[in-house]
Amino acid sequence: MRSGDDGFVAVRGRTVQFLGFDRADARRLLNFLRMGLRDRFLGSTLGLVWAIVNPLLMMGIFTFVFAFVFRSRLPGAETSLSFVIWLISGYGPWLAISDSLATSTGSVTGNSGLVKNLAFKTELLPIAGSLMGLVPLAVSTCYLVALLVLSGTRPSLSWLAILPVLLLQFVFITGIGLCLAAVNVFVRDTVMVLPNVLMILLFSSPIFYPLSEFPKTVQGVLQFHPFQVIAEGYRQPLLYRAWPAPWSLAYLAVLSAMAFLGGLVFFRKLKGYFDARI
Amino acid sequence: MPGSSGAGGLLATAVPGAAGEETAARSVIECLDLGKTFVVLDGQSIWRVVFGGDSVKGFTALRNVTLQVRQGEFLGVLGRNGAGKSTLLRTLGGVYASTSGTVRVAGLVSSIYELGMVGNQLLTGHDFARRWLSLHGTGRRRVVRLLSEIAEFAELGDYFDNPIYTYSAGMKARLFFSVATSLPGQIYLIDEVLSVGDEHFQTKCWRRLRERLAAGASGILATHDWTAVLKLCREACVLERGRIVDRGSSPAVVQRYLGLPQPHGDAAAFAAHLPSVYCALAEEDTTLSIPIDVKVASPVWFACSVESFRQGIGWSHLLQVEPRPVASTAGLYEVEVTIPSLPLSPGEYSLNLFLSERGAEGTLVPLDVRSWTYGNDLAFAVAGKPRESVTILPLRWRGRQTQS
Repeated sequence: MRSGDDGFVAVRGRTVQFLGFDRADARRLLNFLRMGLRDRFLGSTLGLVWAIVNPLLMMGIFTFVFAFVFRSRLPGAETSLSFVIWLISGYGPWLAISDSLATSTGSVTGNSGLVKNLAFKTELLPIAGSLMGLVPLAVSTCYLVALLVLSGTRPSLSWLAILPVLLLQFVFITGIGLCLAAVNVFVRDTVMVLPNVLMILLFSSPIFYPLSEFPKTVQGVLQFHPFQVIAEGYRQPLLYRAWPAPWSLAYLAVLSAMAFLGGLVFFRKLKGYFDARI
Repeated sequence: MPGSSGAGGLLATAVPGAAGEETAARSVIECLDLGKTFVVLDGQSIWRVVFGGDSVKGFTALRNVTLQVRQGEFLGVLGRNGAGKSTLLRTLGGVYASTSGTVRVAGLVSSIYELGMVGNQLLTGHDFARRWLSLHGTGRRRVVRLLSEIAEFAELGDYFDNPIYTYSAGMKARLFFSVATSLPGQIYLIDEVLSVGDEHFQTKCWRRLRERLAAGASGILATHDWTAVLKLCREACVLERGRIVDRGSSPAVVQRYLGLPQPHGDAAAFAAHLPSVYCALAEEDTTLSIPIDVKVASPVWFACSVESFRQGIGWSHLLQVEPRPVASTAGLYEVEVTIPSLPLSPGEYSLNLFLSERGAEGTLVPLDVRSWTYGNDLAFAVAGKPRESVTILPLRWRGRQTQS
């Protein structure tokens, strides 16, 4: 019998596993990420350039509107530029969050060809979808750093404090994305409703206006709004060179872990029924 | 050993299946009592699935499916649309989770469930192939090598670098088949795709499958194209509403699947004590005696043939005896067929016997038949010294240099 192996043997049992994922899954996740990036801008002449230009354009508009048209000021601040910096340090992560959620929610239904024809862990699709939010986040962070330097702020080591926040943000959003992606298979309205819900969430959280502008009673509650916690996690290090409050990091960590594990369990429970709808 | 023997040994084709049958072939696909139920979703049960997940009405697509495929074999799964063929393949391939029973698949699976493109129509054929390969865990260097093979096999020319939406249906099919069979997998799960493309491409598809088979591949072919099953599969089964309702040798299964009429042998028949196996020695004079029972006083014609089955090629005639009259009155007869120096190499063959009468316009009308086309052929076991060819013709040949 000639060997048909040709160097590809599925190695099972010896591989490292994490939450039911192994190394092959990690490789596949990278593949999906690459695929998602390509597919989103496929067919457009400029291709991936849009991944950078789109968020940049959005933030350029905000800068123009708030700095030159509205001339908004933060309470106690001298310039409009500081308001723009404050706004974008919250709006950038928000842009990433909404991008992550939108992409991961449609990820399973949008890749039905793959789901029907390839044996793989479908959890990877919403996870990859959520990680797509890294692109607008990177762009907005670069834009923000440029604004900060322009306004005379010197780069500081404490800026690195956004890294744990960034990590927790993606864990949190991935968890929600897993839930929404699974629900969207059965209730296709999810992906339709999502932009509206996101819009409501955006204006209900202290991203466009500071927490102090809200009524006192609401402030106490809004402090624990996950999006407020995430936004503060970026604002404290970038704007005030301070570490985010330890309680907020701990709170976010617990929230993220719960969201992610809950999302994963929920997704895995529902994915057995996907074949009825895909 | 070409050239070493002066007479005999016509080197034409490889010896049929004999080798595969003798080695105790391990099974590469096994499923036991496999069941698959799809939930039926309506306005209410959707919410129950999403939030409760308890008992929801189901549609049973597969029930109690038990089958086994041995290394080097292709199993044919016949069935009409909606019989559960695709569900069976997807469940075996791990795309669907089974509801009950066990599935064991030993080896790397290459599956072609449908010719649907995985992904974006805006991709070029080249990018599609690259994506497919990397999604199947192929390393980058290997991908580069395989891509040129795929381009060559699919014969898309410059179109290989054009977006898929510019392709014709046939071109898509060619691309997909080339990509999906580019990895020399060990196990193929193929659904209904051997009837794609033009004749030229079909020939290539079959050639590729034969190559893979020769390299030890195994698999399942699910189709309603029974000719493909006859060509590729030694054994087959029929799926009907999710159950296996028939199984056995492919010709027999196909015969029953098509519901072909069987001659009932009222006028003349092979006698009840007709053996089911005839044995003979290769390159020895062989006599086969066949008992027949003629019940009417009219001329009965007899014919027989020895045929062989090779996977991926199908059935071929090796020896054939022209129809000749053997009886014209009622009674028991013994037909003796003598084959001097049996020109077959050792192996299992199919012995086919025909009794017929002359109908109107001189055509032969079958009275009783033992043939693979009816699924009731006899085995013809030939023992002896192994040869590299199937048939051993009394040829003499020598090579001589004509120019230096």
